[in-house]
Amino acid sequence: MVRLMSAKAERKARKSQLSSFAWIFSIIVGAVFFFLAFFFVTQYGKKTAEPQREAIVESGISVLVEPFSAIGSLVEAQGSVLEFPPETYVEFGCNVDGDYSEIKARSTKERTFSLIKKAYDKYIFSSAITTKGKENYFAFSMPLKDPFYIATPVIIVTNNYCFSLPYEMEEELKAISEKINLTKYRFNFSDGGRCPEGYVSVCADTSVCYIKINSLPGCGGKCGFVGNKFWWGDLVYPAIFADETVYQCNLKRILERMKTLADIYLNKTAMLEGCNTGDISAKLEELKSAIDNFKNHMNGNTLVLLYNKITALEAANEALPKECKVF
Amino acid sequence: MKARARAQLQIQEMAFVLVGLILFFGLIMLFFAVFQQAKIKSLAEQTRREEIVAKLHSIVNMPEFACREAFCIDEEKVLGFLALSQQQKQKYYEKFDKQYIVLIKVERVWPDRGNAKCDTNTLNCKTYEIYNNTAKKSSYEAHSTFTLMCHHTLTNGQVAIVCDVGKIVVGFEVPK
Repeated sequence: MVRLMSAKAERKARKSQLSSFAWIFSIIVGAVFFFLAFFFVTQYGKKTAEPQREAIVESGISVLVEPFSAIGSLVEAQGSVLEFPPETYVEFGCNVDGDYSEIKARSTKERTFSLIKKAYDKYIFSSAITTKGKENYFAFSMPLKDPFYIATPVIIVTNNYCFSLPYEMEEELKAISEKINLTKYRFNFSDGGRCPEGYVSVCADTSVCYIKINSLPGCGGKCGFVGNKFWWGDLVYPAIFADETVYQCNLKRILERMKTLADIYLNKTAMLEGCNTGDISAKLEELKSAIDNFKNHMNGNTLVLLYNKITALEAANEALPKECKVF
Repeated sequence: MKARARAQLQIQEMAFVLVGLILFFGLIMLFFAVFQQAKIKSLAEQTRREEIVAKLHSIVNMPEFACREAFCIDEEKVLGFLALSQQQKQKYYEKFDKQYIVLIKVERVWPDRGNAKCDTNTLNCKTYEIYNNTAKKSSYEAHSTFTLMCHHTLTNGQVAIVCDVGKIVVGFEVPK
C-alpha cells in the first residue's frame, strides 16, 4: 500500500516537474526572442538613422541651394525655410582654389562628418549650426548684379538679429523675411529703440551696436566694411550674417568669377557687329585691373576704386541702345 | 517509460515549432530587407534624376552662358567663353568633371542652319561644344532641355537680336 502510494506520488512529482520545465523553457525562449527582436530593431534603427539624417540635411540644402541658382538673375530676392534633423552639427566651408562651398554634417554624438558635399557654382554664407531638436532655419538669397549678374549668394540666419538701419535696407529685409516667424531665429526692427535681450544688434555708421555697417563716402554710401569684411551693393547682407573666414573666401571666389565674366564680355563686345559699344572694352579692362588691385590690397581706397569702375561700366552699358547692350 | 517518451515527443515538437518560427521570422526579415533595399535604390535614383534636372537648369542659367533676360542662351557669350584662355577654361572643366558632367553642348534645332560646328567666330552653325570629356568615360547618359539661343544680327545696317530654338544637352557619368 505504501509502495503504491509512493509510486503514484513519484509519477505526480515527475509530471509537475515536466510542466514546470516547459514553463521555464518557454519563458527563456520568449525572453531570447524578445531580446533578439529588440537588438535587431535598435541596430537597424541606428543603421538607418545616419543615412536618414544625411538625406534630410542634403535635401534641405538642395532645396535651399538649387532653386536659387536655377532662377539666376530673374529674381530680386527670396527667402526660404531650411529644416535640419535633431542633434545635428552642420558646418559651412569654402575653398578658393577649388572654387566651391562645402557643407559638412554629422551627428552631435559623433566626431567624423558623415555628409560632405561640395557645392560648385554656389556661395553659401553661414556660421555653423548645431541643432537639439528638429529645427528650422531661415535662409535668403539676393542676386549680385553689380555691374552684371555674377551669382546668387545664399545667406543662412543663425542668430537673432535686431536692426537699426536706413529705411531702404530695413524695408528690403522686412520684405524677404516674411517666413522667418516659422524658424528658430527672428529679426527685430528696433526703429532706434532698444534691442530685446539675446539679439545681435546691427546698425549703420554713427550708432553704437555689435555689428556696425560702415559705408565709405567715396562711393556715396554704396560700399564700405563690416569689421574686416568689405562690401559693395547687396554684398552688405552676407557681410552682416557670415563669419569672416567664410565671407573673405566667398568674396575672393566672387571676384575671380567677376573677372572671368569681364573677359567673356570683352570677347562678346568684339563680336557685336554693327554696334558702337563706345569705351565698354576699355572699361571692362579697367574693371579687371581694379579687381586685381582690390584682391591684392583689400582696403577702403581699393574698394572705392573698384566701386567707381563698376558704376562707370554700368553707366556705359546703360547708355547703349537696347539691341547693343553687352550685359 | 511511456511518460518519458511523451515528454521527449513534446520537446521535439517544441524544437520543431521553434525552428519553424525562426525560419518564418527570418523569411519575413529577408523580404523586408529586399523591399527596403529596392525602395532605397529607387529613392536614390529619383534623387539623382532630380539633381540632374536641377544641374541642367543651373547650367542654362550660368551667367557665363545666359542672356540678359535669362532662360535663354546668349550665343556671343558662349563664343566668348570658348575664346577664353585654356587656363581659364580648364578651371571650369575641372568643376564640370567633379560634378560628373562629361558633356555640355548647345544645338540649334530651328531654323536649320546646316550641321557645322560653331567655332570662335561664326554664328551660322549648329552646335556649340562647350565641354566634351566623353572619350575618357566609359558610359554616360545625356539629358536635354529646349531653350532659346539668341544672337545679334546686322541686316541692311540694322542691328537686331534674333532668337532661334535650340536645346542644351548635358551628359552625366553613370554611377557604377
